Amino acid sequence: MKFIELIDVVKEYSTGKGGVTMRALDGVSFEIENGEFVVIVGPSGAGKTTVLNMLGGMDTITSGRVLVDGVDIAKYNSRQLTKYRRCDVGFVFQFYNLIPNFTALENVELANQLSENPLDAETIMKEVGLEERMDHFPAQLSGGEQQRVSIARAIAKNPKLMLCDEPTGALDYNTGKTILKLLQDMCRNKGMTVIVITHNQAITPMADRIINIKNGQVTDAHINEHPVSIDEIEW
Amino acid sequence: MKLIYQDVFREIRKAPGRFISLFLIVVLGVAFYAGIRSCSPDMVETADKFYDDYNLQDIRVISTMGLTDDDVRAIEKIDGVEMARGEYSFDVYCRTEDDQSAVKIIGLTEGIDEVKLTDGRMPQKATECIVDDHFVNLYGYKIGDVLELISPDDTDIEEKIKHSQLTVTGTFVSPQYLSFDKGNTTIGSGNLSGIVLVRPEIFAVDYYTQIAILVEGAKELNCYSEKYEDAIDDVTGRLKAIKESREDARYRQILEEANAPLNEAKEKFEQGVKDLADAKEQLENAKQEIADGEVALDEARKQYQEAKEKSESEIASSQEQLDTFRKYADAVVSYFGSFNSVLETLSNARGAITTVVQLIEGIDIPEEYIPQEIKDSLQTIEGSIDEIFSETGRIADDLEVLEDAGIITHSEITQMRSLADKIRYADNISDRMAAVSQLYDLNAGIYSKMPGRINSVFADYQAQLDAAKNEAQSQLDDASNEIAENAEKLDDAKTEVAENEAKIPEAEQELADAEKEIKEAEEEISKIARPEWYILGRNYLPEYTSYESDSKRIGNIGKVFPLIFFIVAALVCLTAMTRMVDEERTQIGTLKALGYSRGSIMWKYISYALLASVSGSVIGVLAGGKIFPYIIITVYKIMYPNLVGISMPYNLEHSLVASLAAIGCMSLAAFFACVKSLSEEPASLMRPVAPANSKKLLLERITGLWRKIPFTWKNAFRNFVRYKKRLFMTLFGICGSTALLLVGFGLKDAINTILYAQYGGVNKFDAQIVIDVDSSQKNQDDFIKALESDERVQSYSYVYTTIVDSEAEGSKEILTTYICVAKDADNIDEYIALKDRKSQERIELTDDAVLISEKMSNMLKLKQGDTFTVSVDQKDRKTLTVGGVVENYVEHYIYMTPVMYETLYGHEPEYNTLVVVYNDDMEVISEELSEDYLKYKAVGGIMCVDEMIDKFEDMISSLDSITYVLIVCAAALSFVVLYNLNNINISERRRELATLKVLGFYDIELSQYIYRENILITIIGVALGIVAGIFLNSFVVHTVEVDIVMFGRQIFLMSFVKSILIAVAFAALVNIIVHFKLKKIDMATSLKSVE
Repeated sequence: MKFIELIDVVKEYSTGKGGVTMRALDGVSFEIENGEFVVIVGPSGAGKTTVLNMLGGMDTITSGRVLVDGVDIAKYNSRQLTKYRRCDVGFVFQFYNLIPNFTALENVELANQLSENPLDAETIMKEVGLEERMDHFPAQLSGGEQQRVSIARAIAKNPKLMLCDEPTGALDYNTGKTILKLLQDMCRNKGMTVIVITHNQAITPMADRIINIKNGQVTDAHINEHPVSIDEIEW
Repeated sequence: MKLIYQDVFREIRKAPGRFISLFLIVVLGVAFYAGIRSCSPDMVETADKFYDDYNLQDIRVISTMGLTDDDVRAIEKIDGVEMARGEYSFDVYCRTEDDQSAVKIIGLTEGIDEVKLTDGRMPQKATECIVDDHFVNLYGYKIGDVLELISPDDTDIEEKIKHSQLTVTGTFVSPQYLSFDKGNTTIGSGNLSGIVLVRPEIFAVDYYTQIAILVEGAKELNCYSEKYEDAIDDVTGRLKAIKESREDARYRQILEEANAPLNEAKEKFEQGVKDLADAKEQLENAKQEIADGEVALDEARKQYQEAKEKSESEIASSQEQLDTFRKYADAVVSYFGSFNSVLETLSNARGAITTVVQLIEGIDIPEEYIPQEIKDSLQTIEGSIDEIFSETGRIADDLEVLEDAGIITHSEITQMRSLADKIRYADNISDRMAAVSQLYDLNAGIYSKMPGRINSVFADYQAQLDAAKNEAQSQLDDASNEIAENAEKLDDAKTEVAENEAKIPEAEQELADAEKEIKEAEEEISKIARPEWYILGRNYLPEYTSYESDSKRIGNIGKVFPLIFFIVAALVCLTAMTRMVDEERTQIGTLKALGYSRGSIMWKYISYALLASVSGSVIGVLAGGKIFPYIIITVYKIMYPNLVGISMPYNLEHSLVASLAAIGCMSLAAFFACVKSLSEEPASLMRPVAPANSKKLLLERITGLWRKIPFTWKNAFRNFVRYKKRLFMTLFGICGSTALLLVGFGLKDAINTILYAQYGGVNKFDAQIVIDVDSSQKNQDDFIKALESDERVQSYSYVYTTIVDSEAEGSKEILTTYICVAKDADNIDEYIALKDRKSQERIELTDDAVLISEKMSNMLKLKQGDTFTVSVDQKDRKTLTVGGVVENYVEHYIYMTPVMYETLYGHEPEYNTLVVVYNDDMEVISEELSEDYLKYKAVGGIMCVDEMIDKFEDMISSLDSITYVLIVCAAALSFVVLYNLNNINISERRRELATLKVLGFYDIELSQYIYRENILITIIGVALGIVAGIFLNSFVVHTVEVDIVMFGRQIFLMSFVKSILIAVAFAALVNIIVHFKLKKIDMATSLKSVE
């Protein structure tokens, strides 16, 4: 059984007064196995973020099914969705979205308080290489460091699924690479399903599964039989 | 530039909430400021217009002895006096259903002191009247009813007014009496219940009781302004200048009037004294005369007696003489007769003798030869003849005596004598004898005639004598009659004198009485005090000054409350504008990069601010300028029901100040918000603003503790430090709204304290019964007996109460005050607690100083040892010393002992009130008690404390509206501030919140995340608000307080609880709204880049 399965997912937004409906997703279907490092790639406006929203339980779909671990989360109500986000999903944002009032450690602790079986925050901080900067506030951290905190926060919840929205989008090349490495390592070490959404085709070789989206449709979805380490990828 | 405007409008459309909230804050602030601040001037304006419309007197002159037309003319001549009119007024009783109440009857005047008819028509006849609204409602009179007026004293009412039955033709309200208070009076209980206006011709007196004056140009001035006071003071000064001369004139006139009858009486008295003296003298004379008369009478009687005796003896002697003479005559005659017999014999012997002789002679016989015998015979004959001669001589002599009586004539005697001579001297015997014969013949002739003659003569004599006797008798009789008459007269005179004498003491008594009366009258006249003028401004009208005080109170509130709102509004605007500018940094950067000048970029925000503030100001001024004064004046009209109309002109000053301040604040807020951003380079503007640094709190240094604090709380604590401005403003909002609530409830408490402290703590009696002291002693005794036997009543005590005006130096106030004298001053505590408010300790009443109520001491600025004066209607002025200040909330009281009252007023107080305490063991129903007692004639009225409480509660329920206004204001403040700030908070932290949502915060958790801060701020704000509220409440209570009551000074626990609960509820309500706002936050926001 597939860990994640999208079947004919359609998402329409009605925009403005004219009643014009814009179809963001037009019958998207793909599947993901448990523990895979997945890259969803496509140009701007292709519907990647919408897919992420669907998977993350942040938005509802117009039609179709979104099966996660065999359950159709599209049928969830808002509370079930929240619970789903709280326990099953870890998010890594393009702009880190740390709580500015909390120190790095506290940001992580905040997340693991939510989860049912969280990981120890300080251990995670060590794992992401921030043991020295745990007590710093986000504003005192660099972008890469902030993103690590963000990843630590996502991992600390010990989720089934990690969703990363352009995790390197705001970072420079090298930092971006280390972040991707970190993500890959987490996937490998913890057996966590990690989905990275990016417009950067270059990083696809590191993925176990690559899903191409264009104009709200999946143009290609295939398994990469030989994923490479990020260190070997240049762009 | 056009684009900028377009942008502004688009901005509004994009976030209408922000614009509307800014607009509303400006509306609220401006409306509150302009509105509340306008209240005081509007109240004044309303009253001023009412006064002016009905030509309310500016000054009135009253005199202790009335005023005259001369006075009116003298006043009219004064510079600055537009009009002066003499007015009549008297306080009389009006008979009501089962009682009588004191009313003031006033003559209508034209052009001054006019009234507004509320119903019916003006009186057109002397028997018609109009009555004030309140009186009519109180006693249920209708138009067409007849009022029966009764004199308040012993004088006949018709001495003052010609008709005592007046038909009500209408009702009125007058600017002289803004409220139910009609002022006080010297009659009855001291309270005037109503005003009756009549046509002036009804009055029967020849003097005015007051002169009402309109001052030139005073109408144009605001009557509560200093300019007005100055204008009035000018005229008052000039009135004072003529005061003395007019007083003198009136004094002289009164003295003249009083002296005229006195002088007349004096004259009469003097005349009486003189008359009495005359009468006495006459009486004395008469007595003398009587005495004289008596003497004369005695004399007359004596004379009479003498005369009578004399006449009687005279008559007797005459009779005797007559008788003697008769006897004599008879003897003479009889002798004459016998002589004649002798003569007869002799004559008869003549022949013989002659013969003898002739013989002898013839014979010529010598003698010796003649016989002896013959010789002897011859001798004898010769002797006889000689005898006859001598006898005849003697008889003739004797007869001569009778000649006068006519018994014999002279010739007869002469004949006799000549015959006698012949007899004697004849030569011879014969001749002699012849003569004898002749004599005899003569004598016989005579003798024969004699008895007749004697009888006739004596008859004559007797007749004469009888006549004389009769005459004497008649004279005597006359004299006797006269004497009798005189005696009678004398008796009459004596009676008269006695009678008159008896009248003298009466007359003397009368004179003494008259003298006494004159003395009394003189004394009274000497007692006539010099009339004194009182020149009184409008502040002597009831409620005139208290209305001003009330308007000032509102003015004071208007100085504080709107400011709070205004500051809040300004701060909120500043925050909102700053937030708006911050949100649009990128756009500002872009515009700047595109080459827009700083000015034009800034103009966008300033014009946005202007649009909100100008439109808000206009609406605020328009709405606030009407709504707040309307509410406040309407509330105050409950207290001043006779106030006519509402004047609410827009107050330019306050409107401008409010609007300009609002516009200025907004524009400045926009300006300062922009300046900071605009000074940055476009590039940095395009970057997100570096989030404010969180700092480690002092708290965090205590690691152990900090670690134990849940995250969400940590966040809240850190946010406090991070958003100080917002924290402060939220605090301010909550604090303000809590304070307002506390003021609202505290105000109610203050008023409720009056009830429970006054009617439970101070007045311990349950009912107060007014005794009609004019009713008969029996009636009073009957009632007391009933009272004593009524088991509902535990105890009672006598009290004397009356109303006076109190004034003190150093205070402009004139207070209507009750004087209260308890008969049993030692046990007064059972009925009225005389104690200090703070210490609750009893204050002793002494005989040389009075206790005054607390509010009175505050208003007149009196403390222990100070003095003040009391008077009734400007009369009977007394100076009192303050011995202490006692707790009291309603009305002003002066407490004194009966001893002190007596030393002060010279007579014992006439105890006219009973204070009654109910029996604790029984459920006493006041209505029943009053109903029972009012049946007694001696009961003039009864006031039961529980009914008073009900009444009072009704009355002050109108003040609830103020409390509601405050609660609404608090809510508005709370909402506007909290909502706005929460909005800003949410919008600033939208990303953070969205992230948390994505991280899987349940809605409620997310809300709590925000709430924690709010709860903390609310707690702190409420705590501060309570502290601020206590101070604000104290200020408000002091300023709102009306003159006759003192509000409580403490806030009840429940009010704190309620204020806190409501403040928290407001905060909670805002938080609920926040909750829904949070729910709406789109998680996708978290994915977007920072704008």
